[in-house]
Amino acid sequence: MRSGPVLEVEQLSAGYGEVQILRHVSLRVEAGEMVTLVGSNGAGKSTLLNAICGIVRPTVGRVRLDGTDITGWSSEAIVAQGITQVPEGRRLFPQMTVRENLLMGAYRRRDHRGIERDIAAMYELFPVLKDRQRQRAGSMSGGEQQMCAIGRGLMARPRILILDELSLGLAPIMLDVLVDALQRVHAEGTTVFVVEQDVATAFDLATIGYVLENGRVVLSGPTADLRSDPHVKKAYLGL
Amino acid sequence: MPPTQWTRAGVAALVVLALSLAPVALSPFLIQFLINLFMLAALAESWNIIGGFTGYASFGNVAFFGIGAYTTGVLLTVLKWPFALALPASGLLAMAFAALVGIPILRLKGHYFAIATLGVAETMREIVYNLKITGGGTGLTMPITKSALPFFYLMFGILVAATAINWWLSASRFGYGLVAIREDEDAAMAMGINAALYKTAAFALSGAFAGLVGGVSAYWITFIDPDGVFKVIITIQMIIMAVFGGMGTVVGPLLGALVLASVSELLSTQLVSLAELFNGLIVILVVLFMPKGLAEVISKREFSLRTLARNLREYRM
Amino acid sequence: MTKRFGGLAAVSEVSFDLQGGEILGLIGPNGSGKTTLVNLVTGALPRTAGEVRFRGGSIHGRLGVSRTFQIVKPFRNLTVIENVMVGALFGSRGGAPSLAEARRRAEEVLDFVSLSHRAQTAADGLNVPERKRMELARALAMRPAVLLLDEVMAGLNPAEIDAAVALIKRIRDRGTTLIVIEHVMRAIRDLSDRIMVLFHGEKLTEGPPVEVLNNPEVVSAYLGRRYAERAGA
Repeated sequence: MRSGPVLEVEQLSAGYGEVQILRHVSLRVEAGEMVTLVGSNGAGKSTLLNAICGIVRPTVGRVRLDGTDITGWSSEAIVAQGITQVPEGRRLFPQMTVRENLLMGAYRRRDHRGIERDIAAMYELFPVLKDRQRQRAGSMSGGEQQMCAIGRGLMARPRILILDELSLGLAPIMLDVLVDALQRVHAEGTTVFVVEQDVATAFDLATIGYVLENGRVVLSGPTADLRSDPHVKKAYLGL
Repeated sequence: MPPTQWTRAGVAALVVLALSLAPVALSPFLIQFLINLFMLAALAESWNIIGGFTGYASFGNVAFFGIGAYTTGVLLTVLKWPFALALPASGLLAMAFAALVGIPILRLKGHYFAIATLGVAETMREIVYNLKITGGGTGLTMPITKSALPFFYLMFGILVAATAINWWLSASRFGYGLVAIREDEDAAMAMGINAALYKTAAFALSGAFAGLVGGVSAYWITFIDPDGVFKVIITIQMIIMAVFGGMGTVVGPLLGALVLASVSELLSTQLVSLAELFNGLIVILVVLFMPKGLAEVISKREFSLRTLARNLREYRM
Repeated sequence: MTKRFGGLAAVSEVSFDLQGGEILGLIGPNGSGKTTLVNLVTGALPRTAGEVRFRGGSIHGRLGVSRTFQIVKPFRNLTVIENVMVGALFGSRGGAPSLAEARRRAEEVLDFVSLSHRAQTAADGLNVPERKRMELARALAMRPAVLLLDEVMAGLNPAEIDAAVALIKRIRDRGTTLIVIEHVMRAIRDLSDRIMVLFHGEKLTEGPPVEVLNNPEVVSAYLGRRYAERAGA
């Protein structure tokens, strides 16, 4: 049994060159949880993900994965440790088929039978992917691409799956499908970290939330509570 | 025109005046060097029209240079035309060829366009090699001229014209259209810019000037042959000069030609093959440290160790 | 309007009218043919069948329509004002005759969208909402009769959405007719005089927002159960 958080960010400050974007950000994702980080454009969400995934080196603070300090590690090493990101905009390999994209997610794995079993599981989770398994990924609609991207991420059997701006450009009904699928994924034990600017969707998904503004965590706690916070309601839910 | 435009125009006028009077004061060696410099600068400015402004990196512009050279060569030696007629004909023929070839070829993008243009240049060499009227592999010899001065003024005139065209592009509706095509061709077309027409016109202009330079070169060097005149290195040189100086700017190609021709002249006294190595090193330098060229570095005064380091890091990322 | 790619009909016999000064909202799932329809109307894509009539006369090709893009396409190496000047220079109903006139028009449009303070910034130095406003300015500088907005609200928070809605209404008040493609329901609801719903390339329904957004077919095809729950709440 694991103890301690899967992902822990501690007093992280980071930026680009002389521009400081994040200030003393702390958060944690415990094993088996689905946690969300919400915030507007420019709040620093991408910078935080870049810092976690080794693209930006923090000036202050630490990032830990299952207790191992991964601060400042290269991206390849961090992925090898078990963080997988479903990037903003999906970033599928457009000329490859759906099946090939899923296989690419399992790039680091050697257990062929396990990989085939997992692909079958992805088809079960997202039936439309099975229909389109030989179709070029770039020719699918946005929602279908998002499913393929999530599937690709899951194929790595990560310790934590990070979703970056999953809702961007998707029709409301497609979001329903994805929310249901992700809740299933979570129920089956995957730890998920959802970085989102569609706060309503983020709170439907996650039980615990952090609100990022101007590089700082201004609110955190169970999403049930955050939903009724007056500031959140006004600034993020437009109510 | 606002004040900075006046000072720029003033400086340009002074430079033109000074260079026009230069032959009086300069040694024959320097005059030779300057003719060569004007030639390279004019070629760089001509490449800048299609490569810098329009964003279509042609790797075959030497084809137009060669066509210009051979048009002059054939008209002078075989048809006995006076040079005053042969030269404009060279420019026109090169321009027409560029327009014709451009129609299909400009439909290709990026790497494919580069390879296709390279193919055109290589094909031209082979064609010229196999024609009798061009003297085949033996080449053509022009009548000898006594003085270098006419070539000085001719080459200088072409350079001024090519630079003037580039300046016009930087301040005209047509030029804005070309830049829009470079930045995002789909968006440009959605805004009503006739991309096919504009690209072809830019390619034709580029070819016209290269052809004129070729015509003058042929008469000046007095001997042309396919290998000498359709050399890939000539295209490479014009690209490197334009890129090093700052492609898409007006003075960039001039700067690039000035710096690179001068250094190359110094080096070639040591070892000929050093010059080729030099070209390669310049390419690496530019890509790593000053991707926008010398002109950008100078105008932003951005040449410090910190910017070098940042560029290196970003390049790695 | 019909468009077939091989055997597949991306858009199938979709007909609609657009009144002057109207804002038409266009919604539908991804892949329902919204962007294809828009490309057919602007003439960017040749149609398989159908006709476009502009002010009573039949039109082939370019109308006075300008558009923004789903994925913003700025001219990266140009400044903001230069970007907008391209729009001013090449507007289909007589672009500006000179660079100076184009600059003047660009300045006016930038002022209208409140982006004047960024006029000299390079386009790739803008943040997301600014980049969208610049695209909008560039399309406006073309002085279109009809302006097509393709998912401009994506990624904006509620305050930014409200500001964008207000700006778009001001554009309409100045005399431009608008077609707005959106997934952000808050914006579509506030903006549209009418909404048209596409589904698998066909027109599912059209009508005032109140009707369309409560239509059970639309809910099951597009809005989804969480929207319905929230709307009901």
